[in-house]
Amino acid sequence: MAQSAYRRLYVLSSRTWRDRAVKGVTFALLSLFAGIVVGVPVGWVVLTAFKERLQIFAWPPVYWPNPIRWQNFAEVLQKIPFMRFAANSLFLSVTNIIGRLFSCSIVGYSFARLRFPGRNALFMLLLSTLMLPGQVTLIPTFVVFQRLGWVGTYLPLIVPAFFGHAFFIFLMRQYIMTIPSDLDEAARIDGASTWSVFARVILPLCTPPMVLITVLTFLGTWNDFMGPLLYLSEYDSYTIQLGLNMLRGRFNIQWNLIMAGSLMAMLPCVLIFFLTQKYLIGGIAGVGIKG
Amino acid sequence: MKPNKLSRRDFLRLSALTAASAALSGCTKPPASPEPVEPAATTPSVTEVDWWTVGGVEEFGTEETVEAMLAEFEKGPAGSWVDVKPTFLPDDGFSEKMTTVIGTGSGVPDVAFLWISEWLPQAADITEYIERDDFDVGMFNQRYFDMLCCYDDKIVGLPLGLGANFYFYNKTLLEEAGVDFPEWGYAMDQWLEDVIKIGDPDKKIYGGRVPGLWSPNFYAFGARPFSEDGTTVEGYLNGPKTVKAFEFIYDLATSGAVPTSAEMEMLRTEGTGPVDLFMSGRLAFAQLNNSHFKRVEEAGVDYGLVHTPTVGGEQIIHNGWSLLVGIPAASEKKDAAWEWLKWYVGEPGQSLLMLSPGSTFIPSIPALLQDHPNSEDERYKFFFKILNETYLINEWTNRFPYIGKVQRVCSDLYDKIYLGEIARGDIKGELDALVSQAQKVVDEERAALGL
Amino acid sequence: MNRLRRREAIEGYIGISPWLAGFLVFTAGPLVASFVLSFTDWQITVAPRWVGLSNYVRIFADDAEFYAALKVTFTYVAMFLPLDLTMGIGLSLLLNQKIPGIKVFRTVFYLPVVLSGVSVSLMWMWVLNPDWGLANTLLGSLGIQGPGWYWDPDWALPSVVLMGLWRVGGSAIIYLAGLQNISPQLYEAATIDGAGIWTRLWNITLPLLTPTIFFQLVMELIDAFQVFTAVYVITGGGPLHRTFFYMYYLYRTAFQDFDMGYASALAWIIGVIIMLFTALVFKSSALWVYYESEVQG
Repeated sequence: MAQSAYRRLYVLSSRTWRDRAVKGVTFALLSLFAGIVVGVPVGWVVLTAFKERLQIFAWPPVYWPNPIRWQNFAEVLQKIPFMRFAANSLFLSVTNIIGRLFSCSIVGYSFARLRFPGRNALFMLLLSTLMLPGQVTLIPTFVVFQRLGWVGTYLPLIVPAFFGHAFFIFLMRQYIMTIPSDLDEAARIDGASTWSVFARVILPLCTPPMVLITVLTFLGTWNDFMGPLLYLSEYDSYTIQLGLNMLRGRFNIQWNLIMAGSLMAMLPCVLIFFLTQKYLIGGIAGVGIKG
Repeated sequence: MKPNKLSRRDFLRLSALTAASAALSGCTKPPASPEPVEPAATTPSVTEVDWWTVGGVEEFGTEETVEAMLAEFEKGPAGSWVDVKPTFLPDDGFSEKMTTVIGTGSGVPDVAFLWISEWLPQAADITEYIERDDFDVGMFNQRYFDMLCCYDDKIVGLPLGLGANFYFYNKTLLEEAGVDFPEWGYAMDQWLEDVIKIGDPDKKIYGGRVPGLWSPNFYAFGARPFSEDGTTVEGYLNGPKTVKAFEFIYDLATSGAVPTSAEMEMLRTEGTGPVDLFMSGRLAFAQLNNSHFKRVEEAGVDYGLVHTPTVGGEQIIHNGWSLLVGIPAASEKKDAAWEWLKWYVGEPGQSLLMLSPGSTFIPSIPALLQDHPNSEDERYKFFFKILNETYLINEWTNRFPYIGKVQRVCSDLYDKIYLGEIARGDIKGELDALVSQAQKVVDEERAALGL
Repeated sequence: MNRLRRREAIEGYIGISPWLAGFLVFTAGPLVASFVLSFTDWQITVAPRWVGLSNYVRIFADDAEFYAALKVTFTYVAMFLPLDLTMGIGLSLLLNQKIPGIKVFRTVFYLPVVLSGVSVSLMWMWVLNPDWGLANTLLGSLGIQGPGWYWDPDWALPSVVLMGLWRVGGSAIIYLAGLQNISPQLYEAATIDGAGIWTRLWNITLPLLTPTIFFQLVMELIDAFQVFTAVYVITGGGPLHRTFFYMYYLYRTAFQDFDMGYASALAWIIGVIIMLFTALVFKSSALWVYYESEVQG
């Protein structure tokens, strides 16, 4: 008894030492990789946003902007109603997120847990909608919306989110399949209905994929150019990407302004991710059934 | 420079138009075929006209200019019953949206640019309006009018503005290298010599850049992808003049005095051309256009102008354009649309665009030019000399919708030359090998067009 | 079917009804339409003309660019997928450590996914510029002569692969979410039994991560076949057709040549190819994917 306890202690303490080494190496690797591969190119985008247009093309290359041109950002805000567009984009993103969370979780759960004839075939159908190049469906979809009378409104950009999206349904299904079904059974024995199991047992455990859906949907909506281009007709209703593209002339492209604009457009996305990381990563650890 | 057919975008856009099932119903019923219009007899009640234009760029008028124009229009006779509603679209996206609505036959604007030739089957014929109102289409530069506005025996629109390509040169760089300023009649060989003399690879200063595949410089050699009537490739694509043009590209690419394709790709993204390189004083000769005058000056470059260099015995070439503005056939408000169209592209609209502060616009109506604020300016005089005295190559190339596909056949060869992966002597052989492929394209396309 | 099963089946249908309804209203029609269009010659602004199988025949029998596009796309997928999978998992393991500042690292690696559009393409052209780009400058400082990247026919495709791998943070985050589901007690139990890092990795982490890996594999497979933006903005399919991706070919046929019927046929062909590959992955999944709860059929 004492011997195995001693052995445990020994293993645990050397694990700590080994852990520290692993952590140290990890830190070093990450810093190196992050610094060079991600940081420097992104840093270039950031720096360019502060440069004067011509300095971008100087030789020898000028890395640090001189002078630092904060006006780039002001100019972008002047040339297009940036804030207005950002608000529009935000509205679209939030509604899409709500729609997706709602629909994709229910549908994902059904595919993961419920048995019904044709389930596999329908699931393959679901997936196949992802495989056909999206081109195939965009124009006809435009016609569908035209028939519905929705062109010129926000509806085509919002309503589909409430009907699920194959990618996220797949994601939810996969995730739910990793949740032991013992939990379901335990709840059912207590008399819970299917939807009760869904809402009380499964959903609370699904924070990581739900947050992932939130972040990815936000990104997708925020960066969408084609949808707003085709379906919106009022200038004031435009979104950020559409607005940024107005900065691009036919014979004259103001790179520094575009970089500045892109940076500003990018900030909310980074922020969202940084803030939701905790929920994304810190899901439950240990469910307590398999002990 | 021919306006970019469809600008670049992410694949979602590609999604938009590609497989384009445009729903069975949308396309089994053939999109409205443009019939001759019946002009209205009496003035109807206030009609709203949906006008799609490009926003955010000076070339087509800033928002203030547009507002001023609309205000002026309101004051006129048509203003009482026509209400123009502008929709500003990004230049990069305009074509996608237009193609989508035209392809599906509904949601089309009433007045818009029609700069893609594939849209023209769906453009309304405005001949009747022109005759009814006794509108003088002779006021426009006739070369451009004939080139752009007539399609399939219809008049499909009116030409807005003018533009043309020519060379800007950096006087300081030329002086430093001891090169004489070019005069009218500047020869291609002389240009090559000058470019090499000025080029200084260590300082990353370039004399000129390698012209794009089948740009005016090619045509300057008298090179053609096919015969004058557009039917035969043999003898033209691999003819002596074309070979000379490609060999010239080779000489330029291997001289070391030009930016590498890597550098040019970077700067050529989204169609800026070498303007940024020129403005930062690193390029001596740049092929730009009239919209660049102001900007280049603001950048502080002391510059001169010259035409695309010429090759002995051949005409001097320039690449020119005007923008076709028309009325899509599916529009239901053609009467009202016509009122705006004739005002906008007619004297009132174009003169406002020309006179608006900071504008680089040049009207396509010769009579207006004397009122141009810069008409006394040397640069503008030069621009008009180019327009009048050199050959507008687009007059020929525009006749063949399939010319792009044929020109594309040479792209691998062009890449090889630019990369230096082919010997000068092998160029003729390569061109010979491409003839059958090109001929196939020509034959297929002509058959599809019913020629 | 007994009553319980029947009720479950009904609930199942109700559950998927949001998607099914959406599919029927928004997606099915367009899908069918595009299929029908692939049998026509449609130049968009003129009515479509029925041509039967001739588009397909031409694609297979008479289209050199089709085969070039397939070759480039398949090569890319073969190069990209294994690298993306291993790097993604590896990165997620690194990002799973509890070290100070890990949140910052995660954000940094996720940044590439957030950046999009022209800025990214420009950035890559700057980084990979053969003369003065960051990549070659760094290599030069190590005494290596850097290649021509996008502008060198042999390096153009690897450059596109590199661009894709830069976004590996996106995959890593998904693996991270999957890693959270693995009970730490398993690790502790294993460690106490004397399992080392690699054993733990191989016997605990990877097996339990397989559902996520499966998901990523399918998604990345589908995505890899649809690479477009980089090619469009930077290389234009060149040099020498070495980056002539299928999607670019599709786009050019539709947008620049206005040959929609032919493009529809191209789209369906690649769609079927992707479906076949995905079906393969699915079939194989029974062999290597481990679900803690698999509700059978």
